[in-house]
Amino acid sequence: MESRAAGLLLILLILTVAAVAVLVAEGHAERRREARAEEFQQLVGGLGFGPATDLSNCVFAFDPRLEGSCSLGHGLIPGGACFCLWHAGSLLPYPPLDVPSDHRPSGEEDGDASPP
Amino acid sequence: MRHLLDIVSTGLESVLLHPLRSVVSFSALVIMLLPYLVGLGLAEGLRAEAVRSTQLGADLYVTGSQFGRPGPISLAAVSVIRQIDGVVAVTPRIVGEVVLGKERVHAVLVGLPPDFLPDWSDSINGELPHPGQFHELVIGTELARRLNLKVGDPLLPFYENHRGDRIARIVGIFKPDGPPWQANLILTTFDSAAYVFDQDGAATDLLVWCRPNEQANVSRAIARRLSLRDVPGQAIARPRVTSREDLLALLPQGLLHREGVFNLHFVVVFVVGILVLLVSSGLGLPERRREIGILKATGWQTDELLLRGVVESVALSLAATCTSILLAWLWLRVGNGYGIAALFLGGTGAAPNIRVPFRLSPVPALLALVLSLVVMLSGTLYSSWRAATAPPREAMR
Repeated sequence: MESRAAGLLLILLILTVAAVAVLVAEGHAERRREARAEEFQQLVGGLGFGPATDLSNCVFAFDPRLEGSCSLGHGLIPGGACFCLWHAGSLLPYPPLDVPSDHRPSGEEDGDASPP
Repeated sequence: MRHLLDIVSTGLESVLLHPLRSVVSFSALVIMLLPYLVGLGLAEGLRAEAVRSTQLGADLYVTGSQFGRPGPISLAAVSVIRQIDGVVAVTPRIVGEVVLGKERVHAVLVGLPPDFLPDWSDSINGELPHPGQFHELVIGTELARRLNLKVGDPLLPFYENHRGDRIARIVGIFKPDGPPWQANLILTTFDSAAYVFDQDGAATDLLVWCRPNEQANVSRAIARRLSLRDVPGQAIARPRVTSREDLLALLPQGLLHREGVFNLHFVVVFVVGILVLLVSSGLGLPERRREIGILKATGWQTDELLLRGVVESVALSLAATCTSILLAWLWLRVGNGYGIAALFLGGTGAAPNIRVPFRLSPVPALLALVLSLVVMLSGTLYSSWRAATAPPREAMR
């Protein structure tokens, strides 16, 4: 094999080893992050879900457990949720958290009032 | 075998024989693969954090609801829920917003009963809050940075209470490699949080743990039996129950949908990439056709020429994929997703202040290698085959 081809092969080998090393190291780092996140979530009882890191603009974008839909949807502008900085402009939004029908008290389905 | 190695060697040399073509192909592949790997890494990292938050939390979250909007729930509801068959534990929690300092930094104050908090946590530098004369607080890394606070520092009253204000003390700071939601968090005891918000006898939500397979029954029982009109001090009309399954259902609906859009975008990019490489690697490069014609005239067979093209493509694809993985790692680990993180974490700005979660796993890396091979082989093999099957005289013309 000519020296130029051997040199290129060596570069390819170094690049491959470096890429594999990065992936292996990230696997170890991921396990550490997982353990840390586990500690945190058990400490606070499960908190945080979306892209926001505080409650100042959109509680729903911080955690849908606290508010089931974007509060801008109930604001002054009709359809205001479409302008929400946190999830309308994000590549990772999630739909409003609607309460499923099996969580409603019996007798209240289809808009009926609860039985006396 | 020796003959095969010689062909492989000439394939590698052909990468260096046309440096401009190789550099253009390599650069095109890196430009396509790098945002793809970084985007997938961010999407996977965020999804993993959201899943952990859901799976490691309570089975059910009970809040009050008034006019369709969330509201506080009376602590008297705790004993009512505890009596429901299938309930293992109920813990009240306060989650609210406070504003700190002259810079008016927004923070999320979380209050939990002291018996819920463990004695020690690996996610904190310092110690956990205890009930006492001062409000003991554990704060997030971003809050500590912006307010220049350390463990042991006092924090002047940032609230108003009709019984008077009390000084708070920082007893711990969350470690920076935790989930992104720790950044602006303040963790304290339930009583301290109730004091800060001046709201006695109420919680933001009740965390309910159930026996296995009892979640749905407990959820229905809470909604049916917990008539909040009968709960003392409760102005809210009805409870609202959110289960772990409700939250997990949001992930495929939301995250995967947009991730699908992200993937679709890159499919278009890769299709365009194939066309670019078709032009740069043969159809638009008469020099390469002449080279193949000369090799044919000197006795090379078509399959040998194709093997040479495959080796050349594999070398370029491997180099581009490995370089993209290394650059993606640098972008995410060192650059903290500068520029691209805002697409996934809306509102964080170009340079996020929090440690952006990401996950560089082998599967997207292998997928990137396959995609780059498809792009390169599509660009090289067809044009090589066209030139190799043509009469050498025509190919050399």
